[in-house]
Amino acid sequence: MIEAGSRYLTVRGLKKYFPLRRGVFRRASGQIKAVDDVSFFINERETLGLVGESGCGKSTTGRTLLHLLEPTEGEVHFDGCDVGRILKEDPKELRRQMQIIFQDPYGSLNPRMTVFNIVGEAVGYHGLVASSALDDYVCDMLARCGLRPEHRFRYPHEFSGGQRQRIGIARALALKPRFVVCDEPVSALDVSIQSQVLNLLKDLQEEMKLTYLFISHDLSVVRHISDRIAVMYLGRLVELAAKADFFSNPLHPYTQALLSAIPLPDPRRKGKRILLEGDVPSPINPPPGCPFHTRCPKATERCRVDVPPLVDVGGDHFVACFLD
Amino acid sequence: MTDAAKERQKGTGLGYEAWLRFRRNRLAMAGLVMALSVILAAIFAPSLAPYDPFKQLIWTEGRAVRLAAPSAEHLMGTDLYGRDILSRVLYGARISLQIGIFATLVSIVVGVPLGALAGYRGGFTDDIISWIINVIFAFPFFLFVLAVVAVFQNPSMIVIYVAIGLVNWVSIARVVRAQFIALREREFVEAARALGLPTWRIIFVHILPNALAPVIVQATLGMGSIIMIEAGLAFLGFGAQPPTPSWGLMISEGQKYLGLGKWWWAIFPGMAITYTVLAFNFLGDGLRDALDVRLKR
Repeated sequence: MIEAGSRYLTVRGLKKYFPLRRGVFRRASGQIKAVDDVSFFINERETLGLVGESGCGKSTTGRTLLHLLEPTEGEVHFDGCDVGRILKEDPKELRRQMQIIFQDPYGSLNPRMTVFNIVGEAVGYHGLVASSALDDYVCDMLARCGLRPEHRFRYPHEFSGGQRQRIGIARALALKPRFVVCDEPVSALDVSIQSQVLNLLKDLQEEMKLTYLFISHDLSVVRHISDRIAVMYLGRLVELAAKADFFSNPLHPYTQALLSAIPLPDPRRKGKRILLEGDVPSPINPPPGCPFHTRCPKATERCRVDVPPLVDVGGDHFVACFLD
Repeated sequence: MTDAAKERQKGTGLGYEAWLRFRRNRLAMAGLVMALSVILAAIFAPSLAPYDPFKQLIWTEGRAVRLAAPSAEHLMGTDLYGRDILSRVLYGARISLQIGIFATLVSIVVGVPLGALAGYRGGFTDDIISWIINVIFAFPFFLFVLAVVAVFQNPSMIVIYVAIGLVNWVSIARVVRAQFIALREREFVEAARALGLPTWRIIFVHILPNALAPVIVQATLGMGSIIMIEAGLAFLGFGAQPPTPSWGLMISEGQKYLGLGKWWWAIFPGMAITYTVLAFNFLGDGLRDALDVRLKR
């Protein structure tokens, strides 16, 4: 479907299974298929939004892509390089180029380090600037992220959630990366702060020529920042399309149900709500065939048996569904 | 810029906040003051002690100073050889603290790296180290130390530190292991890995400083039990040897005279042990409450 290395960043057949250990002897008695055969690509300087409900494997996809979690199977190619191979041989430079911004602004900063050390430590380690210029560099980075440089010797607990998230952004971007996984960077923040941080991420993307994988469960957030949007369900991608196409012409029943749940700002217009029944099945015992068939209003006999592949229906609009 | 503003700009560390919490805790402050008094007694014993703790006054002052009851002259009385008990109790603080500190250092030197390794690596490494920890825990602590010390004909202080340290490290290792298991999953550790920082730096710069608070607490609480162990060893004759002014040894020598109404020889060193152990237990509990960063992130 997607050829390895043909795009700026290509993910092919990525799988992450966690062994399930039960009983006294902690023997592997099953697997959690957190990410199951996921493939996509991201073009240079664009943002791919990855949406899905909690537990569907979005964050695991982001972490496995960066090899922060060892993939069970699959390849990631970044700018012509096999990420897994390079990380084994010479991880330093690749780590600098591929960064991550975390969801939890409280857990993602070391409580015993000052902001200066949090942002500057890796800059020094990677030798990006001379040690005499480190202070200026960190101050500049903080200022660009909307923080006051004179606060650099404070500790994380002295900042608000939004400010901490800016520190996390400064830490990731201080390494001058080219690709950044944004793992729900605003979902822990107040709505009023969310847009500030989103706009900051957008501005910095422009300024630093960044490529984002933006993970979120919030469609309106993803709509605001993404160029293309991918939907995940139970460890698999079900649909991937350019933003305009995605919102105007959703093809997968799950996507259609998701979009119908967005409240319309006009009280007179009543959208037709597609209500899904039941719950997301457990990733320990995923249903055979299409993962969505247990809740899909249009499921057929075939959906219960075969797994629909993610196919291009034209114009880089991918969908994993047997229905046309 | 005013000094106050400068202070704000520099930021307040977690240590300062912990101190504020500690200061509000009366029992903790009492423990601190008590522990400091023991430490000061140990340091300034030569100037504080009214007599030479080794000097047997019966040779110069006659039988009147043999087992003399507490008086203005000898505040805690004298022992069978006419030695001033107050002076011996003050010097005894040196022995107890010395054992407590060095045995704790041995415990930390052994326990922190092993606990860190078990917690960070997990898997087979963890299984082996945890197994050793559990075996030592299952063994009666005191008997183990006794057995090690008994191997040596004439145990020096170093043997005693090491023997106690080699058992006591398990309690340190256990808290370090638990901390590492919890911390290695935290996002800031993952962030450090994503930044490409090397493993040693993640362990020492990112995880260890966050794991130290319980180590400090455990080490402080351990001081109390080590001092008890040392006293027990000395009482049985396996610890400090006469004429060392060790509290346990003094109780051992004095207990024969308890029934004869000559209570001061054994009771005062006993009170010193109780006071010191209580001091470190209060201090440890206070530190635990003050350093608990989980209460406030």
